Amino acid sequence: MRYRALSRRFARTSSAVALAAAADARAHGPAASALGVEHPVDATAGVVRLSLGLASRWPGRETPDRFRYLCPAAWGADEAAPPVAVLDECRLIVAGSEAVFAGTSDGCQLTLVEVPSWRGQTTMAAVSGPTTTLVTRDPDGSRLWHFESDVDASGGVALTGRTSFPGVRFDTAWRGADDALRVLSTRPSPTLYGDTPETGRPLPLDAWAPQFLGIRWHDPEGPGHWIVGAGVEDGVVALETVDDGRSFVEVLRGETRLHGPVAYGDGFVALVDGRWHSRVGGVDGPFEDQGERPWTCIDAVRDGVIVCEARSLSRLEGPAASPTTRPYFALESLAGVDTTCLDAPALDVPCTSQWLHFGAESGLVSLDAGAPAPDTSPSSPTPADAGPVDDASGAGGSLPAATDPSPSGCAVGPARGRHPPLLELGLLLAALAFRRRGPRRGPANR
Amino acid sequence: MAVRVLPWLALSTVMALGCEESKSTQTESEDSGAVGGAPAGGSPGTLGGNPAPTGGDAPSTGGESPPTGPTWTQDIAPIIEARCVSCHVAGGAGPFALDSFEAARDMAPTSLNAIEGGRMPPWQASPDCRHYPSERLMPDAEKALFRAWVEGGLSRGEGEPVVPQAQSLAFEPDVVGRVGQPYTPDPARPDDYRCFALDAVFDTETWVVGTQVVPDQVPIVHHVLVYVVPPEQLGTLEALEAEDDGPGYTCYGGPGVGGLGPMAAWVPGMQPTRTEPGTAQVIPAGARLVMQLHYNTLNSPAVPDETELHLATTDERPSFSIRSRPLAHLDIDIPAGEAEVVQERDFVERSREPVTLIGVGAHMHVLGESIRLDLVRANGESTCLVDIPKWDFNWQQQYAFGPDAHELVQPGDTYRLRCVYDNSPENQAVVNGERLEPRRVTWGEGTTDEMCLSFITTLEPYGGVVSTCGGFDACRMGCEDPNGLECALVCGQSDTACAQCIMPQVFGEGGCARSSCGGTLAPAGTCLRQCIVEAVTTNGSIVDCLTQNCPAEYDALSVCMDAALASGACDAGLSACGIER
Repeated sequence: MRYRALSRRFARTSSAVALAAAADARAHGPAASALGVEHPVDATAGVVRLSLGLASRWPGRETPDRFRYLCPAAWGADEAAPPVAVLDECRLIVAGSEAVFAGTSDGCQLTLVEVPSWRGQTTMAAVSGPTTTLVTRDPDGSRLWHFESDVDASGGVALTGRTSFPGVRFDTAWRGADDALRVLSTRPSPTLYGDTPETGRPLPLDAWAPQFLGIRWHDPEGPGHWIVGAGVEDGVVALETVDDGRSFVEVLRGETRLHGPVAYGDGFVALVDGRWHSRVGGVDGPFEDQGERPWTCIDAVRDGVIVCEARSLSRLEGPAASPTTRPYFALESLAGVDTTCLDAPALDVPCTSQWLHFGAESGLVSLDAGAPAPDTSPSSPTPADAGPVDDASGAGGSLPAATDPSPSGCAVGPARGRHPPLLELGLLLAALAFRRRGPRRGPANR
Repeated sequence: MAVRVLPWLALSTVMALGCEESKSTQTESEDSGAVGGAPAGGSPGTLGGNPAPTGGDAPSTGGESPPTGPTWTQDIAPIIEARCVSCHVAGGAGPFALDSFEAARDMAPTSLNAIEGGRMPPWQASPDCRHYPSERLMPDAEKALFRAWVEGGLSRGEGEPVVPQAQSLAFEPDVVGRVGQPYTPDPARPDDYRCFALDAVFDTETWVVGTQVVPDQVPIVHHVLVYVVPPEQLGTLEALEAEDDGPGYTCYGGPGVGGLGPMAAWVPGMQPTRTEPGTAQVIPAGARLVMQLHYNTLNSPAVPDETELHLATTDERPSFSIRSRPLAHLDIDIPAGEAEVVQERDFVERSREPVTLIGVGAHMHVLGESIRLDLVRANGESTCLVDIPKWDFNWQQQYAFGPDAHELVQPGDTYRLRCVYDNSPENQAVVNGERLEPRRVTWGEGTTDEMCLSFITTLEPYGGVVSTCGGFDACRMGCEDPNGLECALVCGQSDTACAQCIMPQVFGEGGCARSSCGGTLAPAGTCLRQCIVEAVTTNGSIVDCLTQNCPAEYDALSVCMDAALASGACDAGLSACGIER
């Protein structure tokens, strides 16, 4: 189903007002914040998970210090920030509760992927790669859903396989250095699975009785070395294995909060109840407490480690024991939503509404009568930036053909028209005076 | 085994009892239309394919012909005034203002989106369950009118332009509770949950007939709950305050101390509340108040805040006191990773007389998806008391039925509480920008705990000044063994506040039961805990419950506790509740 068709359906149902319902209801809620970054990421690209929506920087389209806001309405469901798998630097898959979408990583041209029996699934993990796997649960058990791109040489994304695991409750998954999928469950008993139920192998975790397992790090060089975080009766522990789950060693323990460990430099780093821990060298040394840090996440990415603060993400630099940070993302680098590229007029209002809410909650947007006219689009694309209107109809699940390759290789998604966004958005935005406030708190740079 | 009793008793919400609205509309200045207009030639937005109005400063009447559809002046301004501008004004809690034609016109598509999506005005309870006098639902006719206004061109209309004014209910306080010094939220924690003991002093029993929370820094104050702390718990309150620097102490699920729960609450847009005539909330002599605030400082500077509580009191003896009882499903168990976990429990009303129910409240934390409370009559007939199909921790609200819709609950009727949780990875709490992986979640006050809690608010004939456990001694004189456990349990239930005090003092952490009878307490622990909960929440008899459900364990415990009570081992705990031997 083409996105345009979907948008027509939305238009028939009261301008898609229902789409934004849950997301907007989170206004007046917890502070708007950045929650992490999706792998892979490098110096110029990446997808950031926000407390409402996503942020994306797309090579060749955004300037290095700007991200565009991807509104939850664009993937047709109400999740604040659903699981996202990154196919490559240019494309992503969004696992909504009602449907799966694939599209360009700028949030434009999202396409509904035909996935029979998807409804009712809870996505536990999204494993990125040329073959992307979504790991889900439902009341009867768990499932793996495999997607591949370009299966019909059209650049589209399609479901290519589905495997059921009756009675199993999947927690987490990753694709190891041997390119084999590894999936962990805690119920009915801790088990390591591959692609099929027959591959299940019990994990010797009785000593910890884990309630939930989350992959924290796996060795990109060898498949047998990985670390999981485990929720246990009296806290949370990090369990490390070097023999692909045949034995485990508890390497860290916290009361409630454990982020990492992930490899960094020639060692490992982790956050335990807000305190920074580092281990130098291989797997044998102890983690040393390096004191409190303000960070709220640690994400291993392709070429380094990202840490979060409420308003920003930063790359780690320097020694593991006392790293410094280099800004990667800050809420202030959000340039707003570009509804013109959505090619779905019915999404203008809900998408802009969500941006207004997130922007207002985060202090990025205010309505000031008499202020200068707004800059509502990422990097203010001019008509020359926008590609031609995409009117091509495609088979179900097809991603629009690439248009106007950027210098980095990502295609620039088409804009709905050649009007500057300000005019296209019309009355809703035209009279709004967006004022980009100066950052009250600068991006993390400690 | 320690018996967990106290903290959940502290959680309830206050009833909004009657809320009269006073409206005022003032004339708009003639030049107000020239502010912040759209760029010349701006292409108007459209909804549903209808022609949109011309942007810019001129009244959007189309110019050539008078409007035929709804207009701002005649139709929309009154709606905005009644439904929106208590928050959507400059400096208000809303993210943008709607208090002028221009502002409302510019935000009209977004406003319509929020209205039709049910997000605004904010009101969580389903009207399919029941209606409440204080509900902020917008009638369908008003929604239709607003849509027609948007689709018809956002006309200003003829005649005198109007400016909606925020409504305010006149409220003259007799008592003002203050923190005593300003508190500046911690900017490093953009979600700062803080509890403060207020400076209001209650030398004598006080009858409260109205409450108003007055937020100081509206942009950063997200919600407020105020609790009564009875005199015997002041030591606990002082200890909590002493543990933390600065005014107040960090708290989340509740204040960690307090009586039967919040006597006042505030969320954006809330008006002062008044009790029904002849009724009052009773603050015991010597009690204090503790106020919980949620500050959110990410979008506004962390500035000093001096939020206050205003109380209207009366010297006129009330005929009825307003009492709250919690219905707490303490045994919730939410597996890690599960997206739809249903937890349900029935509470039988075991009072000896019919109970007049005047309202209910509900409380969950952030994994909560929905919560519903039904009253199931003995004949099987069911009445919905409250249904919140999409729970939002940030919009906790009281639900008073109004004087014409009281429910008379008969002994034997059942309250059915149903809570649904989403503990999937994508629905984990985000507090201060941090989200964790799913864990098995059970009852507790922390950010990583959950609750399944409702509160019923009832009217009880007011019997005059009664101190906590004031009826204990008189009751004890009627006991076969005035110093025995059975007598302590029966007479400890003489009033709810007394039970709240005695049970933790005797059976809680550090209680005499644990130190003197640990060996017999442990086997009876689960049964005892369930019976205490059931007794407090349903007015049932603890002794009857124990006798029915765990007679052997109760007998063994009685033998030991009779001796402990007789030896004076429990005197200190009982004394803390005002009971002297």
